[in-house]
Amino acid sequence: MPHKCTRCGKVFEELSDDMLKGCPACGNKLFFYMRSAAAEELAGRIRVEGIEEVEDVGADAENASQTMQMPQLDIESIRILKPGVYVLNLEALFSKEEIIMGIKEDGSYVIHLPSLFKTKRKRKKEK
Amino acid sequence: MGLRRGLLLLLRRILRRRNTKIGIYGAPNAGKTTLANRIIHDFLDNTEDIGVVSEIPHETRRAFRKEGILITAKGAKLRVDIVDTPGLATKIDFHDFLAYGLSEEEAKKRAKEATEGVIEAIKWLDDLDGVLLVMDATEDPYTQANIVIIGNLEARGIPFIIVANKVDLKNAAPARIKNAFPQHVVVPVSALKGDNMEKLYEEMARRFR
Repeated sequence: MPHKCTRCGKVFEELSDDMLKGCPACGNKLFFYMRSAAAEELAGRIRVEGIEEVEDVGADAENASQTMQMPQLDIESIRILKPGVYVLNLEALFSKEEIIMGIKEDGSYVIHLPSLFKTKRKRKKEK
Repeated sequence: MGLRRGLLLLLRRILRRRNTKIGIYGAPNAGKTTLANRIIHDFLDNTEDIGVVSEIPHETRRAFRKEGILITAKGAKLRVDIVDTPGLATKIDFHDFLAYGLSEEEAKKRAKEATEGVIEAIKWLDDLDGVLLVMDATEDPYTQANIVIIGNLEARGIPFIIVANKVDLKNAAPARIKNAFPQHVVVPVSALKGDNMEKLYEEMARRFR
């Protein structure tokens, strides 16, 4: 598991007790965990080339730009863009019991009342 | 929440009143149903399947449960109920299914059912004692779905194992999954071929008992 000093950039292939006292070269106590060479290379290119140029570097950038096209979800758990096309807010679905649906991208919302009342009943029971 | 759940799990272990309920989660086409079928074939019935496996994403759109599977690994025993859940996705678009020969009507129906399936999968989480989080080892593991589910499992205190599936494929890179989630247990397997399943069963017996 290689690590890299965040100050001087020295790479440590293996973890050692000495690292607990800080980087032997500069004394810094913060280290990056280094992922695969491909990820490192991509990260390096982002730093060097800037975001505009990275968008042209192939499949990874293409995926990233597709992600950018996804509508930004706010309070809704699900946004129905059109029949058969759904964008799901997994974080909201995991953390809230009530379901709020967004319709298209025009600011319309539908609140699924049964899910909301179920949550309130449950809370009451817990009290 | 974590403490309460931990105490409940401890009580269940002491009382042994019911089987350990294990949910199989992951992105569409990660191999969840193949893994569930493999577990059932290995320990229950070689001819029985929990669900249909298909190359079309979102083939499983309802959660299916199989009860009373006795898993044995190196002398350890674990009686489990397996819950195979629909794939978790952040976008479900019927256009993606048209390429597999589905009509527009069928594709839209599939997209609607798949969306319901995601909600059902998430609801099941409250009722589980452990999770097998299946990832396709040929794909980039650093997805929003994987990160959200891992965060929620950690927050709820549900023990889980990351199953790096499809290692029989040439471009599989289970090490990429280990690198992405170094703080969690990752077991590389091929659910289809049965490779390294023994190791997974050992880990399940250790973590879910």
